[in-house]
Amino acid sequence: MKLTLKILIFSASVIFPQYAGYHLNSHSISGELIKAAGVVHLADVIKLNPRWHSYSIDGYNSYISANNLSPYQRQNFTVLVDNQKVYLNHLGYSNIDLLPFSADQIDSVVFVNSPIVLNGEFSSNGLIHIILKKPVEGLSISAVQNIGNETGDPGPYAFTPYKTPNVDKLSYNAGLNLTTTGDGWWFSSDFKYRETYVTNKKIFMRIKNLSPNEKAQLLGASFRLSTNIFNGNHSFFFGYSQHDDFFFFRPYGNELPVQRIFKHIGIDGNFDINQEITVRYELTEGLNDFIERSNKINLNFDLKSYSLSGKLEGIFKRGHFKALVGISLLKHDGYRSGYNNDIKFRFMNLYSILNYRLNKNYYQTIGYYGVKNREKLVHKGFFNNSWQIDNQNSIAFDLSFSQSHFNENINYWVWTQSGADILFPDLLDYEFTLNKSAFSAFAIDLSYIFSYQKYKVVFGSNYRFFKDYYLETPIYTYNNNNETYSSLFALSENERLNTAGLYTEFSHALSRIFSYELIYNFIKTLNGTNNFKEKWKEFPGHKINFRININTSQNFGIWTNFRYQSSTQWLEYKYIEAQSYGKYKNKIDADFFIDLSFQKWLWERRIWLNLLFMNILGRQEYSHPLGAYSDFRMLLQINLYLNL
Amino acid sequence: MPKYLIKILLIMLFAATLQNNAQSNSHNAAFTKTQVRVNYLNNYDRESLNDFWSAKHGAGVIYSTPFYAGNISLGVEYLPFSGRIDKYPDFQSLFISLTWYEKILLPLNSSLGIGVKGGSFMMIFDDETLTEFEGTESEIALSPLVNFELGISQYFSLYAEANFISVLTAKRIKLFNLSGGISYNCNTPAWLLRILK
Repeated sequence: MKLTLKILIFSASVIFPQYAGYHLNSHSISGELIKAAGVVHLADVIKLNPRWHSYSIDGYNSYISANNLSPYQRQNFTVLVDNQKVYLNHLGYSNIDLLPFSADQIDSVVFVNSPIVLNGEFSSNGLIHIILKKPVEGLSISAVQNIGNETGDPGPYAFTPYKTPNVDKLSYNAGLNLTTTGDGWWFSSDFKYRETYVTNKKIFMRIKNLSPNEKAQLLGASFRLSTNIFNGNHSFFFGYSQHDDFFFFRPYGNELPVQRIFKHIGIDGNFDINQEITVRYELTEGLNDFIERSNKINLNFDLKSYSLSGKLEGIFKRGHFKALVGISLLKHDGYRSGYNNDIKFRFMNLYSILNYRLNKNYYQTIGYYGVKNREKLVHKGFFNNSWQIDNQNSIAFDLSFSQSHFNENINYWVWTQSGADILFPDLLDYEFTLNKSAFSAFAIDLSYIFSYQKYKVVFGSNYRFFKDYYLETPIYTYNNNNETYSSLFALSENERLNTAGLYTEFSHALSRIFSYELIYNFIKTLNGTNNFKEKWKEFPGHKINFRININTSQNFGIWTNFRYQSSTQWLEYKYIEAQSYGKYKNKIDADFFIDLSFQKWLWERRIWLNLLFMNILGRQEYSHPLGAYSDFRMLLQINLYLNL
Repeated sequence: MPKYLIKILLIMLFAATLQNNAQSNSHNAAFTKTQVRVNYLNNYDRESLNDFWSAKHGAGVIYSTPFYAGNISLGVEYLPFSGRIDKYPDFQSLFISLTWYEKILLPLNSSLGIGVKGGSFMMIFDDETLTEFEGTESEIALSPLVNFELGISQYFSLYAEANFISVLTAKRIKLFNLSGGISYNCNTPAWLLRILK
């Protein structure tokens, strides 16, 4: 019974969690659900939150957009790991899979769905907080391995006239975790490995023009140390990943063979001065690097960026009143081979939050966040209300406004404007006349929750207004002779958009072993410039998820996900269907998929097996016009947990 | 579309059976019995694979035990194929599968089982010119099954099974296999029960 209820509770959306001391518009996904859903690649956890969108070209690396808060072109959502900010964004792409731990080490993931100030960060484009498992007492070892298979290989027919290409695209994944605990401290270390081969014919044809091989490999290692000293808790986190991959570079329009390095060193903690005053600090250094991997045309593509950040916060709590004042400094230093001077961006952030109870059932939180860059200050703020009407009904209302510096995006346009021309003047035809003024966004979220015994109903709506944005408006052309793309890359300015969305969730624990939930998400553009409206067609207007949990005992469970999403359309590829004689399409049709997983604990919960069947209807599952499609596939996950 | 409906109905049926069994406490009997089977296996023509290869005789070893609902089996079946001409290399297949089936008890200590089997159908090609990557192939395979069991003593029973295997290659491989053999039945040893429970 415990297991059933736990999975139900954690898989359901929670609007008012007492998370970080505030009532937040957030969605929490438990580690149990992540395991049951067969999440192998960390970025796939996004698919469990219908309010967030993602697409993947190669089936592994995902591009993400949070709850109607940004187009796919802004990949600067905030990522926290155990309260520490990690700087993943490099050249406009934040690859969550670079985080050096396996999905089985996740205790829970909290998605913050509206802009707020959290841990010294303003979540203009959404925030993902990954909370890792804390070690159990003693010395523990856990290991995970995944083996999978996708249908559609040629089999013995490869030797006959019925020969077809090999489509086996599933990766090999392995992970290892070692933990130990002591009196007031614990230590945890992780290792992960992933190996993939490009076997999708379309991607292979693009890659083979530049790359002498088709293998991608990801290696990651990390360790965490936490201790309770000096009247507080202090945590150290080190992570390193190396990914030999094929990076889809949007301005170029094809995959580039590169080695991606990610490094994070961070320490954070708090000192409780007395019962009412706490001081919190955070110091982190991040390294993001693209190193040239051997390619056939000696293409020079590299950029190294160091991100150094320090935060200091003072928190005052008395009864139901809480006030926070903080300052943070952030510096990005970029280096590019062939350029003598490094390029620096410095930001100073000042922020403050007030959280108070107006009466017994009514809470308000108000926050301000100022960002200063090159003598110019921009302002961000949020106002959050939550009203517990009675035991069964509650309402939340969130409002936010944010201005952003051009430099805050820290994407290839920012680096190029500052002198490190990462674009390829010889290969690219691009126009670049950009007024670097600030752009702004306004967001409103309204949620209502009804909860009664084993039933829970959530109705949510959101409204967004984006102003003075710049957007990439490329047009890609398909080259039939070598099956690659070339681009006419352009930027447009002064783009604006009004957009709105609806969200509904119904969950019910039918019995102690059977529970289900139905989730529906809808987004629609209201008015705005044509370019912006076209960008929103890259998101499915309708998404429906119907999930069933069956837990016949504490050691056996079944999870089923019926999912539907409406069509998406990609303007920048509008000519490719005609140019490729129908091989590619710029529209991805609406489709319906079913996933089914069987989970079994063995050996007194030391071994966990998950047999997962994904897309069992055998539909061609695309998420991007140039991407690989996934067919019916099977995955066996084996987890081992030993406490010595 | 009817195929999709059948798959969805199978899931619902399995879920309903589990719900029913869990509520009736019969899941307490899960894993308490052990059956080990040794099978002789033969393939009969179904579709175009047999235009290029002919199957020889095969064998299988299967472990079976009661599950929370019905019964569950883990098995390995070996079946070699020889090319009809040299152009088609001989290959050996290994079907590593998980089976779920429900038993209907019949008179004379016999039973009829109906269920589904799924797993990985591995093919190892006997061709030294192939690379390691090309020389081994595996694919998901699914099969409905019907089996018949006749108890002949406290510990032993005779066993026969029919499988309609679909290997989900781009061009589907369809195999009709008949197998027969002997089963050894006993209570699950305590050490094994500790692992399975």
